[in-house]
Amino acid sequence: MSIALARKAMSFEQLAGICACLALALAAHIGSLPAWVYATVAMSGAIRLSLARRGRAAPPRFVRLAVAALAIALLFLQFRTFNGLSAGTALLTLMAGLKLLETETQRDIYIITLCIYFVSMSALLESDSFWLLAYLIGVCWLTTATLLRVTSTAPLPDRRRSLFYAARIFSQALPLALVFWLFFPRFGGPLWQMPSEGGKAESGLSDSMSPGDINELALSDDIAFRVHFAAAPPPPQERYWRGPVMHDFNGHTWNRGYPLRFTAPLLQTQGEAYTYTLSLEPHQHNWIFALDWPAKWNLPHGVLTNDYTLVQPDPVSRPIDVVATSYTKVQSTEPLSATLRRRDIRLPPNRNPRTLQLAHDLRQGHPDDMDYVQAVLNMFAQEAFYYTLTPPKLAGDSVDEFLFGTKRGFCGHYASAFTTLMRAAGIPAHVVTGYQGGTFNRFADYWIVRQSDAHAWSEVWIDGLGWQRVDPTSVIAPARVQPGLGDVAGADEPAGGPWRHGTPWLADLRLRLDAMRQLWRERILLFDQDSQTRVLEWLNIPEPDGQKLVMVLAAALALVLVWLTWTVRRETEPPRKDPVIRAYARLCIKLAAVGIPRLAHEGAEDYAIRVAQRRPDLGPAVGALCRDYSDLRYADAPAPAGVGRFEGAVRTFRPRPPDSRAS
Amino acid sequence: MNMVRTEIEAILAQINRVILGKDAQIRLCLACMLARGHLLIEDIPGVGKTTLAHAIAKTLGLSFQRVQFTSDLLPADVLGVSIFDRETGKFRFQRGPIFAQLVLADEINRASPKAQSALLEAMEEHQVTLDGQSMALPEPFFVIATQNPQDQVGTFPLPESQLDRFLMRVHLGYPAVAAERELLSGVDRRELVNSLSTVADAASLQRLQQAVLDIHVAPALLDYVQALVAHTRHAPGLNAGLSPRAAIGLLRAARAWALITGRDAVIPEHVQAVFGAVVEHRVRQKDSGPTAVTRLLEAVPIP
Repeated sequence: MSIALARKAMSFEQLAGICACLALALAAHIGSLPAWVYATVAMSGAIRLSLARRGRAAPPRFVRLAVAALAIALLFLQFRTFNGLSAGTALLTLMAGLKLLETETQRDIYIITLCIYFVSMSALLESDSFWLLAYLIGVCWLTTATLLRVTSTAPLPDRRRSLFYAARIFSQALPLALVFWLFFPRFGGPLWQMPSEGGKAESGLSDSMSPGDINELALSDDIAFRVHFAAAPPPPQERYWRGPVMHDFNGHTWNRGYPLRFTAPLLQTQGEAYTYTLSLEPHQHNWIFALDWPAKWNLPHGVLTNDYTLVQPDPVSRPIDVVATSYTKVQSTEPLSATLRRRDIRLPPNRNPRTLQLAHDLRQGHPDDMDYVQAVLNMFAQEAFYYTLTPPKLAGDSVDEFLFGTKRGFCGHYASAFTTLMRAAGIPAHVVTGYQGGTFNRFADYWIVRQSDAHAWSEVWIDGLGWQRVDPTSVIAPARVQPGLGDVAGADEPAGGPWRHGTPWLADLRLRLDAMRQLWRERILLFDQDSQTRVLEWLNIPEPDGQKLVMVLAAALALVLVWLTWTVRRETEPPRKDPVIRAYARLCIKLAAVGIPRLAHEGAEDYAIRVAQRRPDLGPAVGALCRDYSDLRYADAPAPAGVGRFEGAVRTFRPRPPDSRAS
Repeated sequence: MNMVRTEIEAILAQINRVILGKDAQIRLCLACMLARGHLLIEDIPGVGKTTLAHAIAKTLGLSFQRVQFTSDLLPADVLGVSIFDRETGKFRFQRGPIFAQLVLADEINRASPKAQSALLEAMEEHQVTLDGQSMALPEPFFVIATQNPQDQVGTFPLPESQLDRFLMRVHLGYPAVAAERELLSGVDRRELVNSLSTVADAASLQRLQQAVLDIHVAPALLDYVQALVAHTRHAPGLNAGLSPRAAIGLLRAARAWALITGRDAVIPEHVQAVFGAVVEHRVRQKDSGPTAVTRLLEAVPIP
């Protein structure tokens, strides 16, 4: 029956429906596929639709072949491979789109539907956003409803009913999906690695800092990480999130420099310990942002570098959760090793000469290191320095130009200038980049740190105290570090814009949505081996191993299959008590096995005639059997002996397969 | 049973001699009459509708009247009229053409609805009521109506209530090439009809009608008929499903078909054979034609 149905021609409406579903699925890939792929798919859809509207068949075979060959050649020229996420998705998309061109029967629609499911789900390989998933579930729902309107044997359900049926199918599949999600074996590391995409944009801080860099970040609303503090959070002026530390300066740009294999001076922690969970978004670098200064963390391979940055061997390429403990106050009585001191005191020769002269002059009056630091900060506070996120561009000697020319800048400019002044006076200093502050989400008790919270500050080495954080920006624009002190200096400050000021309900809505996303991330995306073990322990399945999990899955699958078989049988099969019906069903199965299945609406004797036409050798036997069946089932008071005879005749009826007849 | 069989074969053979190459339609016509139903033949003029009706009447030995329906036809022209008889001083009823065993209402859709409705009571009740007096019509009583396709000029479409009173609607269609050749080279059809001998009479026809009622209907077959009828009531593309009267008619026609094919019980194939003729003019479908009816059949599996 299904075979005959699959060959049935499809209607214009069915074709239009499937085209719409394909378009929706492709919308999830907007921006990630080459434009000509969309154009090709749209063209082939439009051509097929306009042909179908006029009741005409698909274009001839050679046209289709030529178009397909051309498209695949183009694809290869563009990607140089069929492997990888983008090329694979593009290939799948093209196949679905070009299949539209030759769509004639319902079977073609099944194939396109299958492609649509794959195309939809491949979007999840690029992004694990909650909204994308919700959208894709919607697309799959519509696609299933469209499929229902193609496949149903009995009267085709109308649009509303088919949507309802599709929703019912989805909800029926939900328990199975849940079981698979809970029990599918998780592996410590990723099971497979998506081939990395060259040139994929990295967001967030990088391992160098030019004075203009953070400017771009300040306008970005992307989330860097979220933090949940186990107890009270540290006060705002101590919420510095430490990222990469910049040591090398070439006069314009700061760099991390070559890592030195020297142990850092031991830090003695003081004051309160803050324990927090950090939900880090992937940023494609190997450092982990941690509250200054990190003391404990739960990363198996995480180590602290000699400039106190928390790093791990692999880049953070997928979302991770880190539980860490930090102290905001530390000191070190150990001396700084000569190598580390040398690293943080170097300045490029012949660059920023006016700055060096200024440092020299200032140092004359302030021989004490702390006095000198204070003098530089006072200079920033008293002279006409402004905080702005749109400073003039700096070209050559960035510090000279900034200190004696523009006098306008933000954290990067001040940290860079301050550190240079320190080094010029012989005080070891470096620039620390990271984030400062964050937004509290009162709906879910966590802090959101966005790219716009990116910050740069300085650390100076004071003998006897160790590294001391000095944030020159806080002198210029206290509001940047301590919210609530009034607006950031400078009226031209664009950061945050309408989101943070003004419309509070909009900000609230944003926070609520973010809380939902965080829940999704915690409960679904980060459900890993450990979480699975916890669930299994809770379910009293001790020592879960792969074998046990697979057994659970197989059992669940078998259960569903048995249930499905049972319900389908109950709906489609006649009551099994009647031996005549059972024997006739067996006869039909035997005949279907030789390639002549009975149609659902076909009477026994018509069926016999059709069998005789297709297979004259079977004609007489089948004719007699079918005649017996109609008599037994429809005639007045058939003899009970006839039933037994009929059953026996069906049992001994063995139609030869069609090929043996040919030989 | 054998006698019934020979009789039916003889009737079919004779009509087939007049109307060439239309075996299936002739069988349907006979089934319709055996099921005591009225027949509507719809086709363009000149394909042998009237000749068929003539041939049936002649073969079955029934009294025959023909009414040519025109737009100015009055009910009295069909039913009859009371005339004052001066000799007896009383009104005397002059019977109209309806008082025959087989009435051919030719081109019924050219008459006004008023004249069409004159047929209504006669067809349903087998009697005529005039001036408060009911008069029974002869038994057996059949109406064979012919109509031109509705899109031809000068036609009044039959109302649904009237369409429902016809058990079957049959299309004759153009003859096949071989049949047409024979038609062109053979004798004149009218003469042929006149020369036909009577192979049955009213009594034997009534016997056959009785035999239809003896055809067995198994519960499994009723399941099938009910499934079909239920489907026409839910199927998309149909404005109205089958009425209970139509369901009864479908089963009766299937029984008559079983008798014609020589079976003593109805099987689903019999229902399918008459389904199109019984159903097509009763369900109002958006896209009419035989394919729509086939679709209806294909959508219902045989239980």
